[in-house]
Amino acid sequence: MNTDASIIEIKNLSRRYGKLDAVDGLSLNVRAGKCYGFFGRNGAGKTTTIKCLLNLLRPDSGSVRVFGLDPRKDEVAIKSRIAYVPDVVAFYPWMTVRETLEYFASFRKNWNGDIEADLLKRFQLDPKQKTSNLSKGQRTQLALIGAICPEPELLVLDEPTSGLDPIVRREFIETVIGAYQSGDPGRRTVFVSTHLISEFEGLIDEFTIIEGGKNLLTMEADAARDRFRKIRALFAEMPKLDLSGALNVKHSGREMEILADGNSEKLLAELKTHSPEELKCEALSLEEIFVASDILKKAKA
Amino acid sequence: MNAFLKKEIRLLLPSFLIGCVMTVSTWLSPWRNHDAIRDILSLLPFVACPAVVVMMVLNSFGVEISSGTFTNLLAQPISRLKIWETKISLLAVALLVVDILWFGANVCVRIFFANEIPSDAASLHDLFVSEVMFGLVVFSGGLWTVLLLRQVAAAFWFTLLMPGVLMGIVVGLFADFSGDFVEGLTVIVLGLYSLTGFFLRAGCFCGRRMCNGRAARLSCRKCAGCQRGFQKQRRCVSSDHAPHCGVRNSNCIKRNSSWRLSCCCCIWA
Repeated sequence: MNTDASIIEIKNLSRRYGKLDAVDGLSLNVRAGKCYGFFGRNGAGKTTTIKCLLNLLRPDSGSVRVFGLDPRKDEVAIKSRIAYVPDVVAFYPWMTVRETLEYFASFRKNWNGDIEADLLKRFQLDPKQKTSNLSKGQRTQLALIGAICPEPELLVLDEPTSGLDPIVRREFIETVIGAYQSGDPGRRTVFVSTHLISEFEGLIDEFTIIEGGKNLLTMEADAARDRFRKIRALFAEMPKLDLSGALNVKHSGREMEILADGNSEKLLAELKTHSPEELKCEALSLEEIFVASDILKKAKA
Repeated sequence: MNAFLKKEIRLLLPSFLIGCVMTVSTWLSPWRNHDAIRDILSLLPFVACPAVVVMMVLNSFGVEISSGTFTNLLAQPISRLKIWETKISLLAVALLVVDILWFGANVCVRIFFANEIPSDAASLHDLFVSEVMFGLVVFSGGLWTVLLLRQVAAAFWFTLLMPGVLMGIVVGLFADFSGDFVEGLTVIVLGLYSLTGFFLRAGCFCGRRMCNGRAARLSCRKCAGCQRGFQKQRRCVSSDHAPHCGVRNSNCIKRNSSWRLSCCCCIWA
């Protein structure tokens, strides 16, 4: 598959709940084979956007295309190539783990039994256990197994790691998602909505930060790390500096922390003229970029 | 039997079984001895049974909505039409069985206790009409209320109260008219209420709105012929639509089947 092909294409998407604009003119483009992060604070409009993708909600305006198809008209064609793990996972209480997986498999043409057995073993889930007896984390694990076994082209995850303990979370992210995507690189796409960004640091290729239903920032992860940098400077005596180009400046004793938005070279040169005792420049993590986006928003306003 | 159908049966089973037991509870009615406990028991088939029937209708969608499994179901690669058809068909069969049992139990009671209960043709006719109307308004009302309100408790009361309010309005407005006229009008009003509720919800749930003329013209400029074809021949004739067009043959045929099913349900009700 051509990696430049758009798997998800959203243009000017808007969705209102009464007077509240949950999503307001959002546009984004997810290319094939990528792990796309969809970041935003609680109530930013992430779940609403995902529901519009899956035709669980109808947009008020704008267009949504998944695999080049309209979810409202080609719902089944799209969903047969997608797996979705919702933020709130629920199963039929009378079903066992095995019956639940059989139920999911009944909707699919492909179902990889080997992956199912492997993941059940890895997550230590008893196939005979009733789903009503599963913990929240175990329910999420079961939902993930149900999502990965059909080997979909697009995996849509809405807050997938909430409720998982740190060990399982790491296992899930590194092994399960990593293995899923590397199983057929270039074809399998992951669209993950989360605010636990640090967990997905190594996997995200591109991301969008959404705030108040609007697209605040869309970038490739590497480009973002190049653009947003954190400079730490330690001075014998704090000089008077003109750092008007900095995104944010923090003073702590003799130490200064500067957040640079694409102008780190210029700021470094400015700092060097005052002979700092120590000068460090490092890329921001995606989580730090997410936090910085709030400052960026205020700066833009 | 596929897993989806099996799940739907399991979903309805508890309230269906309770409904069946309740209908047969007509036999508990104390037609001979009118002591206090028996009087309370005698209310079962006329109060508790309808309530259970309402719950059965609400359960089909309501349990899924309230437990959060509905999102999961809608995210699966299965068309909304298929979900609607399966749920509605099963519900219709369950309601029909409960109704037949209820009517049968009542007829039996009237035959066995013919001396104490009126069992002439007129009273049986009244019983039949009221049961059909009850089935109709509950079937339709339960569906539209639970899908609109998305809360079982609210839907329950709306399902029960709406027909009551409508009947109250009809009786209040036409109090001076003859009993037969008011009865006939009530039947018509409740019938219209049921049909409107059913078709509106079916349309909203299955997204049939996207297959109608206006949406079709918006999605494909070649659709004018198709629309004419659909209206005249009840099926789509054009095959040269744009690939994304929502009014292609398969969709039109699906729409036909949806209408057929809906009509069957309403005629039965």
